[in-house]
Amino acid sequence: MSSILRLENINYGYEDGGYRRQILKDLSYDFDSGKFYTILGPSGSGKTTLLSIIAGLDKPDSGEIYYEGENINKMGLYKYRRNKIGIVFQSYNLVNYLTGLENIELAMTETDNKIPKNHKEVAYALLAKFGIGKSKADRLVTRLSGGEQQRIAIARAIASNVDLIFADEPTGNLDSATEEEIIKIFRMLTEEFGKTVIVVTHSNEVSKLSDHRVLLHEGVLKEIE
Amino acid sequence: MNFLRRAIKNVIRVPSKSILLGITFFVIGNLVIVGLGLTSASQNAKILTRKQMRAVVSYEVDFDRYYADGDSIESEEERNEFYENYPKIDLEQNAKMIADERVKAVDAFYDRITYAPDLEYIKNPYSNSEGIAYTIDADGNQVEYQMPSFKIQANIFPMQIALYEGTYEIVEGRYYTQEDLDNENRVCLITDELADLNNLRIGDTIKLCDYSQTDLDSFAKAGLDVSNMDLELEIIGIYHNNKELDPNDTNTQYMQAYDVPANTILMPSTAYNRYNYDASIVSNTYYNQIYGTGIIENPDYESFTRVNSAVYLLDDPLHVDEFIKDYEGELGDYQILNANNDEFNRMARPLDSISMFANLILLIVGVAAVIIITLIVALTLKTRTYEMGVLLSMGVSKIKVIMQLFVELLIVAILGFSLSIVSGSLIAGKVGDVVLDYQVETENEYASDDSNVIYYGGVERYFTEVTQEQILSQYNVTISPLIIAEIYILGLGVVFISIVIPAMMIMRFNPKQILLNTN
Ligand SMILES: Nc1ncnc2c1ncn2[C@@H]1O[C@H](COP(=O)(O)OP(=O)(O)OP(=O)(O)O)[C@@H](O)[C@H]1O
Ligand SMILES: [Mg+2]
Repeated sequence: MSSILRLENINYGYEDGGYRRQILKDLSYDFDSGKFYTILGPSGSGKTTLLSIIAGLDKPDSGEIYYEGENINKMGLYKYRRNKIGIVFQSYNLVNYLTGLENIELAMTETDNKIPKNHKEVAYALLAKFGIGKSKADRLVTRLSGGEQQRIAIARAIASNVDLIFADEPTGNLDSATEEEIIKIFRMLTEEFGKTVIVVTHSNEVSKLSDHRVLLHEGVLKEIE
Repeated sequence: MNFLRRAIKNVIRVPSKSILLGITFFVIGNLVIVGLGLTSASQNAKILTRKQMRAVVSYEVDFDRYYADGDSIESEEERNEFYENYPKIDLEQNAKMIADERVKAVDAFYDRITYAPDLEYIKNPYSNSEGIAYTIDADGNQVEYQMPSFKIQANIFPMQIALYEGTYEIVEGRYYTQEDLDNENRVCLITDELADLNNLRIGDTIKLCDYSQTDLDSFAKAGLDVSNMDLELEIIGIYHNNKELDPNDTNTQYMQAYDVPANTILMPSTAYNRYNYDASIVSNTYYNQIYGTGIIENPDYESFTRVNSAVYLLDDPLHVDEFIKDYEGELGDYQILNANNDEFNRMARPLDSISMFANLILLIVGVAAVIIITLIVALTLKTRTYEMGVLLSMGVSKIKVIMQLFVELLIVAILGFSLSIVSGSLIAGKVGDVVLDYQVETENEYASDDSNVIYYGGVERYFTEVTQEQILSQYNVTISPLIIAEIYILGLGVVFISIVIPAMMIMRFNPKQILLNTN
């Protein structure tokens, strides 16, 4: 099994009223390519913090992160985010004055990765794959339901032709029926598209469907079962 | 979906923000146009008026100030001493300024009346006086005194203003050259009328004399040699004097023959100075004999080359201020370069007030614009932190995010300003009229009426007289392409400055925040 993301001795803490709180302690972990991971853990355990570090949105106090053997700091975090990963947020976070289609196109233009020239057709096809028809794709994203927005957000995450997808509680704002659909999409990302998916979640439903369930506890990751 | 397209979409799809900014830019644009329009109209009016004025600068002694300073000295002794050191213009400085290439003609001449017993003179057709007066001779007898009939204009420069401007026109031959001046050549130009009357041609010689026959007789009787008292001049040019006596002027009938323009003889100053010096030695000797030796000291030759003022005609009226600025610092005490600027500036004062007022508007509007737009952009940016976060999480660089913001502003600014050009032009014209009327009214209320300029008889009027009406009639607010360009440049500047603080906000934005603040 080849490792797509390798964490080495990650430390992260902060000062709080003269008292130092260590969230991540010498955390090391290997994420294998093409698998669906869920990260579990109690509230405040540092899941979001960890995700922001491995997604290149923040820097650890110490420790290294390697994407397919390349140090992401050396690569440059902007480049890493632009060309290697996709992120899905709990609150969807689409550009709200653009349509669903335009949000996908946005990801396609900004990446340096090779993308088929006919952006529009590819984007429509991608959205259709995730259950967003043409008429909804052309609507401003603010006029769509939460589930629809999240589908678009996922489609956007993979639209830049990346292999690694992060999600922070992607179903946190959705009802259980919709949650199920979104989980299916994540499964589809690994099974059909061969992507590596790392999802932070509180939901048992989500974690049950993942290949690896990892618990963040006392600053380190431990696989459950 | 690059940042340009995103910017356009944002402008169209977030109309509330765009309209708010657009209106702001529109209002600013109007104010700026009014400000720029008023300022440029004032400047144009001054320039246009200046262009109609003669490009004349005179180098002279500031007697007003000299006497004012003298009178303010308390001690009589000191005051007398002050008045003994009469200020003069500096001839070396004069020579330096004459050499300036902007100087096209100079009037610095010895204007003397003179006799020419062998020549017929042109009579003043409006006068009935015979040109005879009475005087007292050395023996105390009343004798008939013959008035001189001719006038010599002996210039220090090989071009005088009247000739340059066409009041004098060379009919035949030439004007004297710098070489004639340098060699003290005894040459002259006479008018065509005088030439006709006396049957004179180029190459002929005329004889002038600064002293009357009565004087000469007295000198000879006293045993003095009067053979050098004649000024013999070779005619090198014949010119036409376009100046004519004005029959409507009540002074004309009292004018002597030497005031008749056709009786003016032009010659180089150096030759005249030499003659004047030689002749004055004879005359001084005579008076010393009569009144006792040593009464009149023989002056040095230097004092004969002195001119009291010099008037320069420049190549362009718009060079006048620049010329003065260039030389002002080099002038000695009580010497001034006068371009009649005080008068011009006094009359242009309403325009200057308008300019000042308009510049103030521009300054206030500029500062207010930057503050208002910065605030609007900064506030809208607060509502766009999600968008920032999304873009940054996707690896879009902060520079591109700022560029998008800049382009959004620019689009709205261009639209707002373009609209304001149409309305602003109309407003500026109206405001211009109102402000001008108001300014003229208030200026005239507060300005003391010192517009009566006194001209001394016989002094050539070099300065073009302009009236306030003349200047103000040139005041016309039009929005030129230059102003339009200025508006866009100013707008660009405002956008640039307004984006600084929002840009700093973006630079400080930590993309991690997007994960932390859910909803
Ligand atoms: N730079 C920081 N300064 C101060 N506090 C921080 C910083 N980074 C993280 N924290 C705190 O560390 C703790 C861990 O936060 P984090 O958001 O990672 O937890 P989480 O596991 O995602 O919790 P939840 O399940 O509620 O989302 C929180 O209490 C958070 O407020
Ligand atoms: Mg969290």
